[in-house]
Amino acid sequence: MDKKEIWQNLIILPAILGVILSVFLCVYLNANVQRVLPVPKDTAFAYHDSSIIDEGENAEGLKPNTSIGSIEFGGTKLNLCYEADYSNLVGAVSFDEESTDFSKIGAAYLKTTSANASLIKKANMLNINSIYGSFKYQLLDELEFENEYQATIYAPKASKSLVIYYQNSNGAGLATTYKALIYKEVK
Amino acid sequence: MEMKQTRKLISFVIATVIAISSVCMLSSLTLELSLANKSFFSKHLVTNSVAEECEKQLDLKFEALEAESGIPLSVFQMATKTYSTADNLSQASQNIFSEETAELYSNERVDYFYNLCTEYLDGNNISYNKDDVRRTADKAARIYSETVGIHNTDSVSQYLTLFARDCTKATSIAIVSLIICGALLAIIYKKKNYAISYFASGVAGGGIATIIGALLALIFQVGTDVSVSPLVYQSSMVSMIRIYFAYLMLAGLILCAIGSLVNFLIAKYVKREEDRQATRFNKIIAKL
Repeated sequence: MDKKEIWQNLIILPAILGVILSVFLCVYLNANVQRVLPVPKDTAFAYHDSSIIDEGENAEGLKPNTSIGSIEFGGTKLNLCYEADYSNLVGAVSFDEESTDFSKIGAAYLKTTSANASLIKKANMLNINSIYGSFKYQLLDELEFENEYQATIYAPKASKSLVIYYQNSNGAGLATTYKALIYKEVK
Repeated sequence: MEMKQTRKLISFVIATVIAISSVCMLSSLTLELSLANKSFFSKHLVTNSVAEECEKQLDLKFEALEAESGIPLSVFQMATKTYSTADNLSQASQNIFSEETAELYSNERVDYFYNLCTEYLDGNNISYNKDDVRRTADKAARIYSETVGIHNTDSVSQYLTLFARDCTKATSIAIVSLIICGALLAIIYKKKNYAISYFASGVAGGGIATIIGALLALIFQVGTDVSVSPLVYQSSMVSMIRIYFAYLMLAGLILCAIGSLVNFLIAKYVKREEDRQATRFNKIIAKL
């Protein structure tokens, strides 16, 4: 073994192999990082709520918890949030994903808490300023339903209406029934 | 001459295969000892920031439950004061790979929330319907489970077992490949120091590749976009991946050191042999 060969095996060969293979290793890791992870893709370890994100500019491709406007009644203002997570219902009303938007014929459905609902129903009128436009509503009725589903399929008689529903609470605790405030649009 | 060149070329190819096998062996072995190791996984999944985030989430959700049920937030918050969230999380993480549930939902927890609620309502002379309060307690227990408990653990446990098995398989294949390459070198060279030197070069090359590869992965923040939710667990996974890269660098360093040391010893041995032969030759010349 001559000197040249010794240096070649001690430094040059490992260095060349090392540099070339390191690039391959890094590229492989970058492209297949999920392969070095011992968990399936999209694993949810827990279910945490998201914060309300900035106001959506248009109705296309809205994500849950996007603020789409506000609801005003008797000097109070609440956030109008598209598909709000549970904890966001404290300062907001949630606009149902499958609901008709306020500008169209039919009913728009909003979910809230009994605390918010007791404030809302004190005012006979409410205003909605949203990405769909500004609308004014008048309270018509308050109805009770056996469950949440019944409240979300109730169709008011008015052509353009609003249903604000919430789980009923008789003072302390959660009842099985749901209540809904029924509004009609006024000019 | 041509024979010598061909042998050298074959040796380069074998050294390259040895380097690749070394990288594979190190990557899968380090994976087995870190990410694919159940105790490592349980220990690093739950961190202080996970506990803090869970408490923050619990407060927000219990605030919504207060707005729905009329029972004050402080009643539900007693749960985090009585039982440490960090301890419950740690318990849940230990349960991921056991028969016990890691979800933290149980009838005992519903009873616990029910007793908290009724204690408050009785103490303040507030009339209530027992079923309504139990429904609220059930919802509080579910909120606790969704927020602090660890979910989908069955699929994680199964996946981890298969993953660890794949790592063992990859390590075994890499070791077999190294043995075959070593045997081939031994067949090619009569002088064993040549064979050992090429083998050590391949191993050192694999070590260098692992060190630089893992370093580049750390620099370019590979793995920061893993799809795991919620965000706080994603951070845990990212830090686990970073620990894995750090371990990989360390393992690469050890392998590189071993390969270089072997080559250095061979170089020293060859020089000593040359010196000895030169001395003997000088003595013969002197005698003549």
